[in-house]
Amino acid sequence: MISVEHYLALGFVLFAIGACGALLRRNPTLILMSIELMLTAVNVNLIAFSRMLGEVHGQLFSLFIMADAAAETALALGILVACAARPPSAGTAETEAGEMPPEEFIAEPVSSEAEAADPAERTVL
Amino acid sequence: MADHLLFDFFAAIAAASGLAMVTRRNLMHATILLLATLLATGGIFLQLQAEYALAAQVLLFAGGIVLLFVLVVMLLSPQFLRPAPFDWKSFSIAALALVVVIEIIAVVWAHHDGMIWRSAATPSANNARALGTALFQDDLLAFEFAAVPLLATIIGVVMLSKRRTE
Amino acid sequence: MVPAFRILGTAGIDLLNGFAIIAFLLLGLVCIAIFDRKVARSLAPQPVLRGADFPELLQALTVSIRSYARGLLAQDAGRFLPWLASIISVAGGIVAFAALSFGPAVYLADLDTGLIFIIGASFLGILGGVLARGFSARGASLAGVARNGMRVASFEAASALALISGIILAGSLSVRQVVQAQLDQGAWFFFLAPLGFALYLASSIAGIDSAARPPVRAASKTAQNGPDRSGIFRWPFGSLGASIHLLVGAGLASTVFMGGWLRPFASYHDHFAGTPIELLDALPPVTMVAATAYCRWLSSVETDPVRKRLMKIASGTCAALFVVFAGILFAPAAAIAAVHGAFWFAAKMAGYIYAFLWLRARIPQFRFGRSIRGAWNFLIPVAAINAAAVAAALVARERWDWSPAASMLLTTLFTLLFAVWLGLHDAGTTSAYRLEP
Repeated sequence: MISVEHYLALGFVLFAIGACGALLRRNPTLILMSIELMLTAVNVNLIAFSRMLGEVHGQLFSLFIMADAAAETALALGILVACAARPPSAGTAETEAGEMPPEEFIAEPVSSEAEAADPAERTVL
Repeated sequence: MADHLLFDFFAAIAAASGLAMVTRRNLMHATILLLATLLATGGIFLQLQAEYALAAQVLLFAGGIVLLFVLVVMLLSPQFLRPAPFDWKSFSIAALALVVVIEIIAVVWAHHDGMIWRSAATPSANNARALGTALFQDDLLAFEFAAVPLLATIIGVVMLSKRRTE
Repeated sequence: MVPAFRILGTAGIDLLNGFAIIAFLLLGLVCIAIFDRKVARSLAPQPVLRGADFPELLQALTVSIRSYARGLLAQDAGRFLPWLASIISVAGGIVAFAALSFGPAVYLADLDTGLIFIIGASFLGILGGVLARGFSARGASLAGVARNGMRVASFEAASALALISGIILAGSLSVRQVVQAQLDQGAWFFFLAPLGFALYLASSIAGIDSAARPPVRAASKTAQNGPDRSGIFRWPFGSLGASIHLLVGAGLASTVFMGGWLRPFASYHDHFAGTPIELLDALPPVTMVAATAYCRWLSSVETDPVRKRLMKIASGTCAALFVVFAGILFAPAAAIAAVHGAFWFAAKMAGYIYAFLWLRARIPQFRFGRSIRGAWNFLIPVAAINAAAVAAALVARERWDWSPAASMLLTTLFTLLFAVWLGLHDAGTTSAYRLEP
């Protein structure tokens, strides 16, 4: 007989994985993905409790969480794109402090010789 | 028994691909693994008789959010597809978090007998209808409040894109 | 459930329905292939390859499915994820397709949230397609793939919003209950929310995968140069994933807006008893007779023995279907509806697909920026306003006893006015909707 603890354990495991990812990785996209994982873990718990109590409010909260997760991801990815997409004619006048994203936040700066030397590196896909 | 097997199957997929996602160096692979995790979680939702949550999970998370991730990873490829390094400095924090979580699981497991399905036989016949009734009659205020962050997001995204075109 | 089927037991019924759905899928793919070439040929100055197109397209179908499978196998060893991505692109579509219901008795499962699930699964198929192409693209073409994905996703969102108007009218997300609501209200939702259907069609056409868009001019050029035999064997619609996506779109449109498996005038069975309308019931068998005759004629014209046999098999199948469709006419009305439902559903899907391909070949393709702006600045707001207006009309019908026709007219007028205003407003500020030079 399967009980609510199984679902709680799954939720905790997923949450732990997500938390570790969010803390360990430096890449913003991966941090966002880890946060999605954590939110999903919360949803698992909520829906398991909702099933345990035989009512629908847990699922309701999980819907709210999903909506907010979607909004959060859209906004965060928008910020990432806005940070990464510099105007093509980025002169010195535009590269003031505050205008540019903090470089290490986005990624390590790509050195041109590394790109030229190793095309296989660029096509990690 | 079949229930148990189904749960084990989905849970194993979810946990394994979640773990793989967090440790991948290639972001594209991480994205596809995130998709696998979310779909397996959707299977768990279906097992918990939350069909609407499954549908929302497939549409919103798997279809929408993962698609966003994929597009962003593709668009920002030169910078973002470089293998993302681990930050070993905060490994200790993560280890601490892991320990705490394992402790929570242990504590919950110690009370293994206490929690059973209280009403195993009363999942509503029509999940979507029950959810809709709750959402638009009993908890309308919460629903309206949930719309506020969405509005804030829209405004934020509009502002972001405005700044870029100026 | 038809009593005759009950002998089989649930497992037998599920198996039968599974086979029926696979048959529907294959039939739909053949249908897309045929229509695609028919449309391309109608654009060409002179007809190419008269007559014997059906067996060739069957062959094209098998060849392309085989090449899809071979492509799956031929992925570099150890590259599991690209393989997985191309599986996802097809599997998402097939899962969505299997969640549709094709007749009163032909369905696998009726989820409470069927429509959302179907939309989500077809989104998943898009995602798989984008991923699969992303894995094989590199460098600058990666950005192209991302843009295509963005465009497709935007228009998919618009078409989902357009479907909302039908869902509001039905008051349910279950596929079967949507059809039942159309039976009860006495009109297809196409007539109650015509703009919803128009927006759905428009956004599906605009949002089609750019790889699935044939270069119209090139097609006519090859037609002028004479029949291009090698061109026959290309996958007619970009990719298998895109074709199945189109099938799912057609299924959704015919379920939500065109009454699903309902016969035309199904709600007025008692009104028109004994009038010529009743002859509609004879249409499925008559069509099957015509198809049988056509296939027999093709098999007599055909010289290639394999194709000859294929056509004979096809005509035999059509004859068997004729026997089924004609025989059921002597049964009670419920049984007629159950068996003929699949025919009507297939006919509606085929009509939608033909209209889709016909329009797609004639509507010019916009550049990326313009089409994205068209989606977000025009289609999505208009679809949202349309859904709101339909909801308001529904309230007016229920509270103040407005007639459905009046409320529909007002809704449509209001949404049209909004659309015109929006279009004029946008045309003033941007050049979003001017055609490409």
